[in-house]
Amino acid sequence: MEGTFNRILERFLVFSIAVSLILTATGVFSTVINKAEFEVEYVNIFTYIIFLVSGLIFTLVLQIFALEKIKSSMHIVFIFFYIVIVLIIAAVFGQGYTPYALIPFLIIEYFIEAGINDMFILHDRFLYECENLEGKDLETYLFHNNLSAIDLTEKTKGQQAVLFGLCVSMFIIIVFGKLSEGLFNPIIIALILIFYLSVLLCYFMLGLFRNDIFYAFLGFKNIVKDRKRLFRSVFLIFLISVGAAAVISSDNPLIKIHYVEDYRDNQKQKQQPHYEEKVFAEPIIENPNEFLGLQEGKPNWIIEFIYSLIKYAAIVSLAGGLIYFFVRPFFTNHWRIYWSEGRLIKFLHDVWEDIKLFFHFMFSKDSKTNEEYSTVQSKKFHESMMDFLKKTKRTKEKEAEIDRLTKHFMKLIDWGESHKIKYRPNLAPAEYTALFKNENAETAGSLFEKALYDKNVLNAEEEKSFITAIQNIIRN
Amino acid sequence: MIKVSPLVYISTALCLTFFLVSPYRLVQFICLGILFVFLISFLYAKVLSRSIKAERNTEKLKLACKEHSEISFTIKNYSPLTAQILYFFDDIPYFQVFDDGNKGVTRLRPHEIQKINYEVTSRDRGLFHAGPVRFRTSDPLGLFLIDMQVPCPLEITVRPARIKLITEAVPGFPQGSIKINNPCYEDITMRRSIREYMNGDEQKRINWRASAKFNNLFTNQYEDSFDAPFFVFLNLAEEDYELHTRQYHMEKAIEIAANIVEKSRVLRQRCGFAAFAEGFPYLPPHQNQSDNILDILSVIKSAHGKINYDPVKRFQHQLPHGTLLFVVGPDEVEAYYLKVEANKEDINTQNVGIMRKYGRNV
Repeated sequence: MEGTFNRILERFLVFSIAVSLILTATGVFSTVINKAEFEVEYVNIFTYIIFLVSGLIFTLVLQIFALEKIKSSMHIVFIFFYIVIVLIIAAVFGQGYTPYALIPFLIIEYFIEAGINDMFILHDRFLYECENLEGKDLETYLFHNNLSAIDLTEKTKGQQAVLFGLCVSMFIIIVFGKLSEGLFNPIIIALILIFYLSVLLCYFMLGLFRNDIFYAFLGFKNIVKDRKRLFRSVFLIFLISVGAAAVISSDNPLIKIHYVEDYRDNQKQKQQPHYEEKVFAEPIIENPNEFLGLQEGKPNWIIEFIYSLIKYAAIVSLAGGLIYFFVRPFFTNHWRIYWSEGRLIKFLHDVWEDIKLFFHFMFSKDSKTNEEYSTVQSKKFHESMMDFLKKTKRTKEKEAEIDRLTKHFMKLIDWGESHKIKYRPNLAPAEYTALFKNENAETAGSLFEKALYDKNVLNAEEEKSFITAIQNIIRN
Repeated sequence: MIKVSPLVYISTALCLTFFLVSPYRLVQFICLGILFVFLISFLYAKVLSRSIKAERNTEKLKLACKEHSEISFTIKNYSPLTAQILYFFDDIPYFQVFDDGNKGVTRLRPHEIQKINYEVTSRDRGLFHAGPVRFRTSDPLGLFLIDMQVPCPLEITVRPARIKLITEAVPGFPQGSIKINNPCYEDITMRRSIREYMNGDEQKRINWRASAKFNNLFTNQYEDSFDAPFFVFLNLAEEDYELHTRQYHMEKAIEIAANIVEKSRVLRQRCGFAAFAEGFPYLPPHQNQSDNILDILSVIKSAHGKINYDPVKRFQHQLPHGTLLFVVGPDEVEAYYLKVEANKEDINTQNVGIMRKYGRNV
């Protein structure tokens, strides 16, 4: 289930990074791109919807490409036909100007997704290779077959730079958006937050991948014991940082640069300049033929014929090559088998199952979280009891009894530690058990103190009830 | 030691600069957000690096060569933070570690203690050191990598390998700690029991108190025991051994010597030791000295030259009366090997010619 969780999360990150970046860029600069005075809208709600839907489609298509092991050149074929389809949709909906924004941004969105997705695919491939190996076998296998590990390492390094570049791009968009009085509404701010959270998670995943490779070479697999808790820690760090940043940030810089200040003030004061239609004079051209670069003279018809032959041959071959390049994939055996076997339906079904598992894993109660473990506190408690026994010089019977009871009490402290009831050395046993707010705990605490300070040993019934009380607490 | 990616430095510098000069709240918010993520991660890593400790339950360990022994240490997390991926590696050079138990990846929860056990064996005798324990972990985001070494020393003395060699103690003098069924070695200070009087019993052996009580004569019976101090001489003169088998035979000689010393400890006999070896050690027979001699044998090295004296003659007069003198040299090792090759079951110090009594072969 953890594998499914990872796969879905990785694909979601790919989607969220690309979509949030493109939506933010178009959203922020929509006021600049759109020319209201001519009633021309390059970016509108149709564009946003197309970007969002395209993001999802690209994620699915890239996954299909990875599963079917499609060649890299097919990315160009896909994006070409995809844009053609989008143009048709735009024409159907009467969006005459949106393709000017849609075409470049869709290409950027697709290749951002393809670039990031590549790393996750390499990681999946690496995990698949090492699936059945562990320990010394894995170590030996990777010693001889380390190509996928090297590829992944190189990819993670490259990806780090790509993610950094994307962060800087987003930053530049924000800064220039601010400088050019771009649109910053709550949705765009939310998109920016989503983008940075996604990049943070991507960096985090990169760190995990690097660890996967490093430890795989040492023969270790499945190094993260509690993935959910780890994700929770990352989110907690993000939330604290966002909270603190929201409180501290303001419109006043600590170091004021006059140029920037002036620019900002001017931007605020500046009014929209009126468009004045200027009348341009017709240029006077004395000799039009000379201006056009035409020379007088008798043309040689043979040379002209050869040139035109070459020209048309080049055009035809280029067009033929392009048609072959774009159309050929639809006539391959792979394409035919893919559709005849209904792999798309199967893929979509698997994706749906994976999404269900993803949410199930995310919201299911984890049994591991409250697992008991030996703590430093219980060890300290044991040491303090041993010190106490040395100082008080009790009988051997009494020492043996306290040793027995201490071991049970240590279990209670370990249980308490895993259930957020912290033991502190300055607490007496009964004071500590009072924190449990439980009748059994109080019984155990009072009996332990009785055993500790009384010169006589506890009778069999008392000792039994002490042990039962502790067992009841731990069981419940 | 905390390792940081250069990207973190660059990002910090950029974010700090833009935070300081930017007059826009959104830009400041993003810069500060990134800075806080770095700060929290750094503090997390710092706390972890200071609170993860390793401790051993013992500082010294003694084991015999080629024998398995268990080494354990405890990893403790004193902080309230979790080390999600913690790699540990106990450095133990020259040892064969079973199942790579000296390294592993684990998760160390707040205040958790984990005990790590693993089995080792050594092919060579000597004095070795284990530790430090290396830890590798990071903050949850993996931005700050903690790679540290905790000094957790363990001194391991690997004693010579145990071999199959029987040493039967020959009585040196009566009254000691070795039992024998021979009334010649009766120890009148150690009364075992009483029995009914039999004709011929000496009058002084009658237990008058018991006889008076039961109105019948009873005779005391005493333990029969003897003592036999051990003294081992080990010849490790390089020229006395053949060149091509020198190392192998010398090691065997050391193993034989260790076996005899070990036996003296089992029999609770005084043991002395001398060797023609590096440092020329000489220890006259003393009680509870076997452990020291075994430690010397763990680290003993050969000496250049050839032995030019007869050890029996040399040490005979320096040793207490009744001392069993054991001489281990190239000839004895050769004899031992001959017995081993012949698959003899009763290979003992007497038939190999190692044990000498009063300077003569027993």
